[in-house]
Parts: sequence; structure tokens; C-alpha cells
Amino acid sequence: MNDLFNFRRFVIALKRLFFEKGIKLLASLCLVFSIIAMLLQYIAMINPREYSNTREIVLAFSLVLGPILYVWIISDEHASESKSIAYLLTPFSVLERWLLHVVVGLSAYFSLMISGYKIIDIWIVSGIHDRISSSQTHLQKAYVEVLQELTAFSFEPIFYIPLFLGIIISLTIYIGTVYFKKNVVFYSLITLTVVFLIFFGIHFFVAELIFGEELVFEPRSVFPFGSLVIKPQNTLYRTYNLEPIWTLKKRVFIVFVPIVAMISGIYYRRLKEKQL
Amino acid sequence: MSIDFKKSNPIYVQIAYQIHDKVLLGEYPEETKILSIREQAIKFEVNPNTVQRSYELLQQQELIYTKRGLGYFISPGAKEKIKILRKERFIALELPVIFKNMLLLDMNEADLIRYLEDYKKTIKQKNA
Amino acid sequence: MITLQNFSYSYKKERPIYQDLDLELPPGKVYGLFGKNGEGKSTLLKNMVGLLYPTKGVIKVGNAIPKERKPSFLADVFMIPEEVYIPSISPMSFVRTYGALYPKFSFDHFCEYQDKLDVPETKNLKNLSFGQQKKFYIAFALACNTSVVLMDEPTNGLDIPSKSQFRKLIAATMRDDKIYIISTHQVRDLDMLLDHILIVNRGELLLNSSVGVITEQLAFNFYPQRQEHATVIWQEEVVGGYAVVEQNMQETETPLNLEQLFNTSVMAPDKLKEALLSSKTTVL
Repeated sequence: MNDLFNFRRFVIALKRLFFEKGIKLLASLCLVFSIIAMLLQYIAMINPREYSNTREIVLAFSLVLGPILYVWIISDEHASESKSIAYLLTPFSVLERWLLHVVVGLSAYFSLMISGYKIIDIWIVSGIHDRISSSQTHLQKAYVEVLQELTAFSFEPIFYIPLFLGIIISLTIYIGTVYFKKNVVFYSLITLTVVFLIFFGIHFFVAELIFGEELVFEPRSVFPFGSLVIKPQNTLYRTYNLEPIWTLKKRVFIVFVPIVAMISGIYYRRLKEKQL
Repeated sequence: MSIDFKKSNPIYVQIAYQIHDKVLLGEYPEETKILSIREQAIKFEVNPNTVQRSYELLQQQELIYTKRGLGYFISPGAKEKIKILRKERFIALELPVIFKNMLLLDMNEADLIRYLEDYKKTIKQKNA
Repeated sequence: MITLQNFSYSYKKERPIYQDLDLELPPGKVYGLFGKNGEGKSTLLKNMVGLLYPTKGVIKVGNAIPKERKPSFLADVFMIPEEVYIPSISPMSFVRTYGALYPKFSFDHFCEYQDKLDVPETKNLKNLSFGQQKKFYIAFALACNTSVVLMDEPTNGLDIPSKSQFRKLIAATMRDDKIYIISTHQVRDLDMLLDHILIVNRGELLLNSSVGVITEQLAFNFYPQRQEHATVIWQEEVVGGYAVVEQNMQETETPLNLEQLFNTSVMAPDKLKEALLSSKTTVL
């Protein structure tokens, strides 16, 4: 028997997840989808002009916050001692458990989430389109631009940030289930927020060391690896926006990929070393 | 089925005695196959090793024997041997208690015989 | 074979539960593990199965190190905790999914054991009561046919007929290559099934002896009066007289009284050890 990975065992692990949590997972996805659909439909009915902006915010939020419930359901194996015993003693390897949660679980969520979102988006856009074509022609003209944008919509690099944030939150909750017995999501998110704030603080602190009084304290300046707002001393009113040399896409990958690798590595270790 | 093991003999001896009783009562005639060690253990809810000890004791007393691959069987003449064993035990352990009580209660041999006759009568009536 | 070398365990550094314990448990036996509540019975079992890691020393089960929790090890041990967790799925999905993970699992045996323990039919295991779930789990655990089965208070929550069936199942499934360890404080439920007694108290192994040696060396007697001779190891007043544990001077043996043995091991541990050490036969 291979103690690291065995395909047959992995299939059983998948089966187990499906039998024991399939319905709950589906329900959590449906919940996220219905919230998205309701929000988008509401905006599309009330103010179609704002639709293209709103849907981006909605997508960002559903990537960041959407997986919370789903991930908690998957990893909820240690809520009680007897539950934890049953899980830890089931003959799966650490790698199989990790792959199931991190790789299969997360890729299933995000691919389902993005494709579900696409379907909802197409459905709503076609609704807007129908309404426009049945009304006056001058309105139709006004919407042409928006519509082109809508139909040309693709998953742009700007969404990598919420996607990675969503993955980081998911992994944090996974790790949280190993540490906390109750209120896992709450404690995990608090911990993550604290870590984020520390990073923001370090970033701002370093920026202030370098620029001193010239640094302007505003939200844009706080984000690590983002831009800095500077007001040179010899100018009275003008502020300057210092942009990093790398493109957004490059920065996202350079920053987030190591973080995700590190956190998922921590999860592997915690799974391996988990005691009652 | 489980037996009352509260008497002052170890369990393995009690199981052996129970088999003695079955032979004496004619439930196990000579050459009958008796339950295997595991079956007996399940029946009495005891450890198979305990029954193993009982069977070893019974083999020592030459009351059972093994046929290879077939199991345990009651030896020829087992009933007579048990009677002898039991008689020895009765004389050594149980009679002294009776005698001690008789002396304490001022009873004599004649009383004993009378009660024995009464007992025989009731047994006969019961069987009739 | 389960071996513990130099085994120490503590939840908190200042209060160790076990300290430098050496123990060897050969296969083919039913071990009874006794101790007061909170004296580390479950802790010992959890260490043997890799749910807790020794703070010091090594535990080996066969050739495996439990704390590594390799699938090949996990597929050959089973632990029945006092409170079992059963997912809310149908019995058939449970048995098919989990049974596939244990190479020696037998579906026929499972059906037989389930039948004997009188587990009712149900569409979802969550509909079963606590005791019924436990019986279902016991039937499954024994049908997995693992080399090591650790049971923590297995008879808790079982009704009277099930306790009897449970004993029958233990007798029926015990094999020379298996190790059963039953941790309990219900001394009367299981005493006749045991080959070997382990008693722990305050992290110390007070007794580690086979039932054969115990009954050979010790006599469990009842006297109307208090006994004063030197062979008495421990006595206590009970209804109608004194329950006495003494050195066995006779050729014959008395039946093992676990309750008395337990009290003796706690109250007079040194005298008890001395009496058992005088055994001429080997301890194991």
C-alpha cells in the first residue's frame, strides 16, 4: 500500500465527501448564486446604467466572501472530539486529505463560482438587451456602448486580487478548523485580519521611513505593493501618485503566489501534526 | 446462555464441571463431539483461552480427546471416571461440612439415613 | 505487538500523565485497561493510535509508528471511542465507503454482527439512538478485522442483551494475531473475557499481569471476620464480612474478582507487586 498517495483511496475520499457533505455544499453554492442573482437583477431593474460597475463589485465580493461557508463545510471535521477521532483515523494519507480540500475543493468552488456567475450575467444582460430593443431607439443608442462592454466581459486581471484573497481566506479557514473547535470562521477571519493589518502597518511604516512627512496618509498609500501618494515639500497643493514599476498582473502573482503556497504548506503541516 | 460464575471455583473449572454434569446427565454420551473451544467461548461469553484451559483440564482427566481436524470428543468410560472424580471431591470437600454441621446440631447416623430415604421417596414421586 | 519504550505524556509540562513507561503487549490477547476516571486510560489508547503524540519515548504498533498515521497503519487499527461519531448518511453508503478502506473488511461479517447486536434498519444513521449508533459502529469495527482494536468504554450505552452479544462477538472474533484492548471501569461487564489486566493510576502502571498469573498467585476470598495473617495483601469490609485478597497458598484457584483486584492495586500497590513477582511461572 502506498502511504503517500493512492488513487483508489483518493476516489473513496471524494466519495465520502460527496455522500456526507454533497448536499450541504450544493446548498452553500446555491445560496451564493441566489444572492448574486438577486443583487444583479435588482440593479439591472433599478439602474441599468450602473450594471457594469455593480457586477464587478459583486463578482469581487463573491470571490472573496463566497467561499467562506463552502470551505467551512468541507473542512468541518474537528467540531467535536469524536468527530475528529473518526476523521483522523480514517485511512487516508495527509496528501490525500490536503489535495481533496485545497486542490479539488477550491478549484471546484472557483470554477463553479465563475461559470455560475457567467451564466447569471449572460441571463441578466440578455434581459437588459430585450428591454432596450423593445423601447425607444435613442435609449438603445445610449446603451450600445455599455452593451458592448457587457458582452465582451471576460475575467480580467483585476479579478486576480479578489480571487487570491478568496483563496487565502479559504486556506485560513482550513487551518482554522485544525486549531479551533467552535466559531471557526469567526476566529480564522479575525486572525487573518490581524495579520493583514500588521502587513499594512509594516508597509506604511517603511513608506514613512523613506518619505517621512512627504507621505500622504490615505487608503491608497496603505495597501502593500500598491501605489503611494506623495506630497513633496516644495509643492504646495499638488500630490503625486507613485506607481510600482511592475504591472498589476505581475505584482499580483509575485505577491500572492508565494503567500498561497506558504499558507497551503502550513495547512499540510497542521493536518499532519494535528492531535486531539 | 450464560452461567452463574459466582461460586468459588475459577471459571475454567466451572466450565469443566458443567461438561461433567452434561456427561453425568447423559446429554453427552461417549464419542459425542462437543462444542469447539471458540463455540464454547461464545456460548459462555468468556475468553477462548479460558475454555482452552477447561479443555486441557478435561483432557488431563482423560474425559475428552481430540481427533485431528475434527474437534473434541467425549472419551469412552468418561461417565464412570467423572463419578469417581466427583465422589472423591464430595468425600473430601462436601462431606466434612455435612459432618461438622451434624455434630454441631447433635444429629446421628440414623437421622442421616432417615433423611436420605425421604429424599429418595420424593425423587421417585417426582419422576412418577 | 504493541511496545512502549520510555513513554511519557503530559498535557501540560508541569503535570505529566505518564512518565517513562515501558510496556509490551504481545498479540493474541484481550487486555483490560482499568483506572479511575481521568487517570489516563483514554490518553494511553489515543497515543497508541496516533491521535496524541508521546512527549517522550517511542510507541510502536507492529512495525508502525502510530504518530505518523500512515494509511497502511490506520487500515489495520480501529478505535471505538466512548462516544462515536457517525455521519448522517445511509448505513449502506457508510459501510461501502468506509469498508473499502479496510483490506480485511468483510461485508458478510458486518451483516452478521449487526444482526446479533440487533441494530435496527434505518435510512439514515442519524435516526439511530446513541446506543444504536454505538452498536452499529462496533459491528463495523469488528467486521474490519483489523489487527488492533482499541475500545474505550465499549459497553457504555449498550442495553443488557447487547452487552451479552458484545461479549460473544469479542469471544468470536478474537484471534491469535490480534490485540484487543478494552478500557473500562465497568468491571463486571467484561471480566471473563480478559486475558491480561493493566491498571493505571496517576500515570503509573500499577498492574501488568496475565489473569493466569493473578489467579495463581492471589486468592480472592470472603471471611466473616477480619484476617490478620501475613499473607493478606488487602482487605475491606463488605456486607456480612471481609473481602480479602491474599497470597494463594492452595493448589486450587479462586475466581478473579476485578473490583477487589483494582482496589488492592490502588491501596496496596507494593504488596501486590511483591506477591505477583513471587510467581514461578513467567509473567507473560
